[in-house]
Amino acid sequence: MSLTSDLIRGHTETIILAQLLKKDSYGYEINKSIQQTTHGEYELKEATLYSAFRRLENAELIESYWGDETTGARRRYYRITPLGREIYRKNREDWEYTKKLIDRLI
Amino acid sequence: MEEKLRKYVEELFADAPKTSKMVELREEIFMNLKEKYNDLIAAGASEEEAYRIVKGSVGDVNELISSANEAHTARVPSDEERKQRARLTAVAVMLYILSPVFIIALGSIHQEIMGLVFMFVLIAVATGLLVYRSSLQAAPDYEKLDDSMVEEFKEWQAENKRKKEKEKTYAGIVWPVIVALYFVISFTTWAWGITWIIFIIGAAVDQIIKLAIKQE
Repeated sequence: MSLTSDLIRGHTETIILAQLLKKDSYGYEINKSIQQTTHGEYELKEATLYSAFRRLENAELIESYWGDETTGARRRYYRITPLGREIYRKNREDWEYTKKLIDRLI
Repeated sequence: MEEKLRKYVEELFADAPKTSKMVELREEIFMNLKEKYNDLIAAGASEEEAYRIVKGSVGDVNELISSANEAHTARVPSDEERKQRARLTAVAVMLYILSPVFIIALGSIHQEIMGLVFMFVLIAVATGLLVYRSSLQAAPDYEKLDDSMVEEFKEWQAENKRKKEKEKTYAGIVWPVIVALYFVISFTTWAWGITWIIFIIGAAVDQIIKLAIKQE
């Protein structure tokens, strides 16, 4: 598990971008979705998730806004930017290429 | 339990600077952890269990704080500034100590008036140095945490405090200077009958300068 998570860590930002491609979302929902997609095999630490948000925001790949929930406290939602979509496509291509290469090598 | 969770998140951020970004980040994390906690309870976990799982899922917060905290370091005076201030204080204190020497020295050759004049000149210079020094360390601008009224009020308060300090240093020097002038002019002209007018002029000048500080 620890080896796998090291491998995945380098793709944290692309994973978040992929989640935001589907719809605008907030921290817990994104993490829950990751957990469900992997059937509970992978989950991000809170600190990792929010540092990734900050980095993505600084790079202008995502932007955030506060939701207008009428009940309870407000959530901070994230939305992917056009630049974010472009980077996601590029990262995906890179990954496909790497995957093919590694499959041939090991 | 919610209180316990809030306390835990607040402790995580205890060392973080209190900027608007930090407050937002803290609220965001607390909101998400609370939701996770409630989900765990709904799935049948006990309160203790849910709290433990939530706490375990946080990870290393330090990287997070530094990632959200770029360009938010408080301004500390440089060594150069501190040294300059210390030098000014030292010179001013030295002048204060030396000021009576003239009365003693010139008094011994029957030049008491000149001695008095020199003493007041030295005191005036020393006080001037101290005032200049205090202007070097003006209180830093207050950084608004958000755009709410409270924050605006705090900013206004900081601004006001700075103005008050300026007024205070000014008030500390104006009357000693006027009294010094009175003695210097009176002793040199010996026109004691008319020199008292200096106090009236002094009071007027005092008010004008105070007004100028207020309107700044």
